[in-house]
Amino acid sequence: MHGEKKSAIRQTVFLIVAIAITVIFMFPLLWVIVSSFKTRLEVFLLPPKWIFLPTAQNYRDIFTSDFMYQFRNSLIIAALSMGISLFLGSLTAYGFSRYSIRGSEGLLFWILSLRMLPPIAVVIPFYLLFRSLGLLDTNAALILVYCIFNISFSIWVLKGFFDEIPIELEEAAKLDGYSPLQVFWKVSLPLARSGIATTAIFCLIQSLNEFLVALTLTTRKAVTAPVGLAKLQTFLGTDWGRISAAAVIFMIPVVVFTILVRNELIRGMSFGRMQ
Amino acid sequence: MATLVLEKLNLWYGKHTHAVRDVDLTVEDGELCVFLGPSGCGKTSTLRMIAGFLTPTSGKIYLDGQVINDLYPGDRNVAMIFQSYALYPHMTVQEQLAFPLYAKGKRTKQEVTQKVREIAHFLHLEDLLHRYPRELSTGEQQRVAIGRALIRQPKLFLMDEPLSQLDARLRVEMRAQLRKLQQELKITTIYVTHDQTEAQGLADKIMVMNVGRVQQIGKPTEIYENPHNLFVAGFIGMPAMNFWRGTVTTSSSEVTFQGRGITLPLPPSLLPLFGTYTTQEAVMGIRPEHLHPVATSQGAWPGEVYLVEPQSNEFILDLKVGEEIVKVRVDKRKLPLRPTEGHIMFIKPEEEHVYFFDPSSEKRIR
Repeated sequence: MHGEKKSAIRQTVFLIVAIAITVIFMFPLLWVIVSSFKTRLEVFLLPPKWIFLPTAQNYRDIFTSDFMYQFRNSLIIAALSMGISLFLGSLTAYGFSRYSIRGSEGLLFWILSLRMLPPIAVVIPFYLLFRSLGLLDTNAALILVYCIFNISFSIWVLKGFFDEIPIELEEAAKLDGYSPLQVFWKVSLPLARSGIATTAIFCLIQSLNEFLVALTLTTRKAVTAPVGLAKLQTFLGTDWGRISAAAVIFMIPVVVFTILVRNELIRGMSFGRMQ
Repeated sequence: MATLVLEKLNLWYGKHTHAVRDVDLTVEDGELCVFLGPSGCGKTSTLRMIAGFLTPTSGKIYLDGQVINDLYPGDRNVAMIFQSYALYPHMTVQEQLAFPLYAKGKRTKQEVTQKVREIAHFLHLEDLLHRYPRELSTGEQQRVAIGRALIRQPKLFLMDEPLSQLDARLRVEMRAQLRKLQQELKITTIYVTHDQTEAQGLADKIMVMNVGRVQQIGKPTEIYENPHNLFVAGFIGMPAMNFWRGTVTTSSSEVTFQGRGITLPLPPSLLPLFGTYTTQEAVMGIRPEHLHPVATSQGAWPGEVYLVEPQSNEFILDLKVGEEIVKVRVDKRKLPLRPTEGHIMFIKPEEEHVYFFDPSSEKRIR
């Protein structure tokens, strides 16, 4: 009886703390969403108005602006760089995990070091490189750059997940008559799916949010949403309502993707500890 | 159905570890051969070479007369039951069983379903077909692993300590079932274990290994009754064989053994082993079950009871004979009263079960 009461109290306290933390973390998000439905004047009111007549004008403006084109660019670039990174990353990680490669530790560190570089250090060489390749202001340039960051990240994360898969499972499949590539495809990859989901979401977020490289390498055709968002701050002033509306639209893909893979994600983020 | 031959098989890990040394073995069609030895003796390495996961440094593996050294594991027509069972966590039992059949991609769905149904019926898995491995008990998992191995009718069955994860009771039960299954299907089988009881209970043939070398190959009874060397003698039998280091001295008609702190008379029938009037260093070995308590001291060895371990139907007694502790296994019904510590008893060995080994080469003296 006593124990039950104690655990009930503990549960209540846990719930209160959890809700408090959630509110603190969700507040900026809530602010953006609320602002996106306010008129230009209401956005600046202090103290802020929580009860107001919502307007869809900001969304209407955004839907007819360049932002939707930039948003599409962002999605294409993020999706492709994520896809390529996962494909190449998983194969490479599998290779590192399953085959003894001479100097593999040094090689792995070198791969990781690609990601340690601050983007500012490489952005000018990249600019020169892509200019001579004639790839400035193209989606391809951004996809390539994001792949460099995402592949190295994928290799590191996925290697850990492949290491966790018992080798006997693959040996069993080999004995059953499957070729090494089939074994990878039918046994190892499905078993690493929580790792794949985790890596995918990190790659997606990284590519969607990236600003500096996108700003430097694009001018008009390949401008991505974060750069476009920044460009909404014009010399005529900042229209926070429209920026908020754009931000809300920009959040949707990540939210949708996260919901789609949430089950895998929870297992993946705890690195397989939750079975 | 197949014959397996290993010819001068060697395996080096790097330059310094010689894991398997000159293994020669023939396993006849339908035979169950157990690789027995302590951990690190090379038995699993040998098995993995047969499966194709390791490439022998030298030597040949023949399956039905064909050299399979360089064949891909999947092309060897060999099935394996792993210690962990290696069931695919993302597949249901039905999918696990069908998985090997789809490998070469020649079968229709109906054929596969039919086969899966047959094997499921055979192993009583019908009710489990839609479960995932994590929803199965260890015993059920093992049956699925067996099913997955059987379904494509392999020439050779490899088992890597398949019973080690089961609890003691289930282990004995499954051991009998495995044996029955293997005899019914007559599939040539290699079975790796470090458990000698398992080996004795299952094998047609046992290959005892230690430090990468074959110590002895033979029927279970042969290995037990006629060990070729000190290692086999000590490894087989529970409790282990008693060993005495000492000197054997013979006269024209008597044999005596001088051990630590005691001189033991031995049966004259052992005389031909050594010849008359000689003195020779030797290790004498007698199994606990081959020492019997006797009523008189005549020609017997005195021992002080040091420890009594009662078992369900027998006693295991630790006797102090000279300065050595000797284990004796005694049927409870043959002792008039329960032995107590400090009590002096007399024991005699069975003549035909006294073994001698050369202390330097560790080979049996015969």
